[in-house]
Formats: sequence, C-alpha cells, structure tokens
Amino acid sequence: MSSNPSLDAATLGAIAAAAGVKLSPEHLDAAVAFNEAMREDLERLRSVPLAFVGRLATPLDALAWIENGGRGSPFATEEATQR
Amino acid sequence: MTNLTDCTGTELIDRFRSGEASPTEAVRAAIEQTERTEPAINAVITRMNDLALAAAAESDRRYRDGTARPLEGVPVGIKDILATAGVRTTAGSAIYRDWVPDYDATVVKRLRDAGAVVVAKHAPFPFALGHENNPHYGPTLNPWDTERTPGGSSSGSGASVAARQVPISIGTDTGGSIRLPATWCGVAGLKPTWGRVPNKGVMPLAWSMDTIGPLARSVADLALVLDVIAGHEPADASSSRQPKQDYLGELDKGVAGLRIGLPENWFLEKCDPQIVAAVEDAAERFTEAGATIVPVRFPHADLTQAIGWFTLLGELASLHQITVDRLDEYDSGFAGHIVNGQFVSATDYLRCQRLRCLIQADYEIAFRECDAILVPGNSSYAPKLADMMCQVGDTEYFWYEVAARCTFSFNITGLPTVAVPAGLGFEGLPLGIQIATPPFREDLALRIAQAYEQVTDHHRLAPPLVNG
Repeated sequence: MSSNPSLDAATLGAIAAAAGVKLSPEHLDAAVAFNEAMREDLERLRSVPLAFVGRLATPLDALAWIENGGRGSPFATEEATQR
Repeated sequence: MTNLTDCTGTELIDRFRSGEASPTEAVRAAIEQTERTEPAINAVITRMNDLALAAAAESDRRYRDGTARPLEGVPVGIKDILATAGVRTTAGSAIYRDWVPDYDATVVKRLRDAGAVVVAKHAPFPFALGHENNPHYGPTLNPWDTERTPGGSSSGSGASVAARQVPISIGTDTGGSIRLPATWCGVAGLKPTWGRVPNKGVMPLAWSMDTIGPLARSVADLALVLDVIAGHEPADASSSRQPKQDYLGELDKGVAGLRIGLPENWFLEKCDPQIVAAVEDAAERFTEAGATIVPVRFPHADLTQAIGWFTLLGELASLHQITVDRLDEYDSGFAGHIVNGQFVSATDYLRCQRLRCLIQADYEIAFRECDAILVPGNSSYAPKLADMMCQVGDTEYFWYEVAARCTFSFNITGLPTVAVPAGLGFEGLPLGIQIATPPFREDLALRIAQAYEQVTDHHRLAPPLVNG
C-alpha cells in the first residue's frame, strides 16, 4: 500500500511552470494519471536501501561493470550469492 | 532458383561471388518488392532508389574487379533516426521532417564503407518512443496481420525485413526496440552490449541505454553486420574500447558443453503459455545438442520496469528540452513522455542509475552458474493497432504493461541479447526467444542462436503478404 499521496495537477503545473514549461490542461491531466499509475513502482524503488558508507553504488559502477565484462557489481556479494 | 528477395545477405554475397546474380539485380529486386508490399505495410519513410542503383553499379564493378568488400552489394535499410548524408532523417517526426544531415552516422558510414547499399530509410515510432499510429507518416503495419503493429520502435525495420523488402535493416534498442519488432515480425534481431556499436549520429532517446543493432532473417547476417559496425569510435564517449570478437568465426561451434540458464522467475510469469512452451522446447533442443540447462533467478526483476521507465523519461526530457516549447508539433504519444519526464526528480533518476548495479548483480550471480540465459523474445504477440491490447493466455494487457517485460533488463544492465524466431502462436502470429550473454560476448549469443536456427525452420516462415 502506498504511503505518499500522488502529486495533483496544481502541484505538477507549478513544477512545470518553474521549469519554464507550459502545459495544457490535457497534458496535466495525463501527467496526474501517469504519476498515480507509477506511484507504487516509485515507492518500491525508494524502499531499496542504498549505502552512504562502505561499498557505494554509483552510476559509474554500472558503467564500469559493463566494461569489466559483467563483474564487480557492488551488490554481487557472497551474501547475495547465497540468496 | 530462390528469388533474390528471399535470400539473406550472406546468401546474396555467395551469389554475387559466384556470378549467379549481381548487386544491381538484387537492388532492383528489393525496389520492386518494396513497391509491391509497401502499400500494405508502410515501412518506408524515404526511398533512395536512384542512389541505391548507383551504389549497386559500383558494387557490380567491384565484384568484376575482385575488390568486393564484406557487405558488397547487399541492400540494407536504415531506421530513420540514424543520420544519412544528403538524405532526410526525420525521426518519424514532424519537427525533423525536412532535416537533411551533411554527415553519416558512424554505423551508416561503416556499412557504406563495407559495400552495403542503402535503399531506404525505415519508419520508426516518432523519436523512437512516440505513437504507434504515427500521425505524421501513418502507422507501419505488421506483414503477418496488417491490422496489427509490427512493434517498435524499429517498426519499419522489422516489417520491411519480414516482407522481404531488404534482407537487413539497422534498428536501435533502448527498451526492446530491435527485439520487439524482430519477435513480432518473425525475424532475428541483435541488441549488442551498450557501447559495442558507436551511437554517433543517431538521434538519442536515452543515452545510457540506446544501442544500435541489425534486424535480419538469419543469425549469420546479424554476425556479418556486427563485424562491420562494431568497434571504438573516438568521437563517441559511450563507445567502448574493448576489442571486437570473431563473430562469424565462432558461429558454427555449437552448444556442446555450454551451460544455459533458464529463469525460475519473472520472465516466464505473465507470459503466454505458447511462448513458455517455445522457450521450454528451445531448452530441450539445446540439451539434445549437448548443453546443460541450469535454473537461474533474478531477485530484483520487479524493479526493472520502473528503473527503465524513469531512466528513459528523465533522459528524453533532458534531450528534448531544446524543443519543449513546441509540444504541439510532437505526436501525442511522445509529447506525453516529454511531459511525464518533467516530473522525474533528480534524486529518483539518480536512484535508478545506482540501482542498475543491483540488477547487474542479479545477472553477475546468474552468470556464475551459466554461460548464457534463455528467455522469451516477448511475453505476448503483436497487438491490434486499434486497441494495443496484448494477449497473454486468456488475459489481455495494454501493451505497455507487458511489451518490455522480457527486454528492458538487458538495456538497464547493458547486456547483449539475440532474438530469434521460435514459431507461430496466438492467431498464427510470430513468437520468439532471446539468448543473453555477459558484456561483449555477442560471439557466444550468436553462436547459441545459430545452433537453434540450424535445428529449426522458424526463420524460414514468411508472412502471407510475401507470396500473396
């Protein structure tokens, strides 16, 4: 169950206006619907702990993993292997 | 004798070398097949007939002179988001309707330098993610059932190759845009490792996932093209310096002794039963050929759709900031994505980038147990353009819910995959499988796909339109 409310049209309109983007009422309605539809996925994403100390995971690690032939992910630990 | 349009690129080259046919004959046949089938499928935005015939004449001369190059005289199409010097490059959009680049994308240049003959610019979904019912150029239709989409965003590429307009077309893949139309049109498609093929000169959709690759009617053709287009491009920061593999030389080594992972979760859930059966049948065939099937799990697969979508929306919103004041000139589908991208926060976008490491870890751990992973090409079949509802067993889903389910994780991780046809399912529509391998092991993915192709006839199936 989601714990945070979705952003309403007024809030989304204000965010867009602050970025200098003018949106029609139709675009705003569609954006509200999209935000509502994605809310649970977003909360699931936000629920995954990401460390501040120790072995960090940054976007650079994702690039390095590819270049390193698929080895060395910060999350590919012994503990993870036992799952 | 087989029609020239039924030949793969590799078969055409054999005929050119033996003198059985000439590049000019093959290009003329491609042009005629395009004239015949195009009214039914609308796969082409710009035909390049005069330029193609001139290039074919040069290829004729090279075969006579003994100076033929690796793709000499083979007709190819290019998704219309790759720049072509002197030929308009529209992105399937109104905004770039009249844009004529003065340069070739690196991939186009490499193809031309290898002797390929570009005959057409193939329709994409607008900007590679816009509306399947393209309001500017009309929808591209699936040769297997013209009430249905071929999938996208390399829609024209998939439809054109299936309709035998060309043996090879170059597509791009950010969430499945090569493998989706390949699977739904019954052809093969290769999404290389991110960075394996230079992106310079392609209109970007999401730079951290965009990947260029071929669609074709044989695995050998995928290997032949990759051999030409792969390799470092100094002017492209995303381009890898990893050495190329021998993609053609490894093709026929078979699968004996290989361990192939079969997912226990995610990929075969919410997947049509006939597609599940096709994957299981492929696993049996690999076992019969000497491979071992091992179970693998992807504990964080449920995160992939959200990571993929928020990454995609954040990057495309940034890229289209330059024309965000012209939203009314975009198709409604892509305009909606630009709008939604405005509300992806920096922290959420960066969280997605950090979490990509978590998805990569799932694969890293899986690859400790296996050499490659076998998954469906797609969970479902090409939907009708009228409603875009995808059939999964007895249930229908809107296509955004299921279409990228089996493809997005390979863009998030950057892994290479090959999609190949695996028969027909619901209402006689094509279905497929994918083979994924560790980064820069396209040679292995192609080799396994080739082994499958050699013991099946699925790649020979042609839509009724071809012979009708």
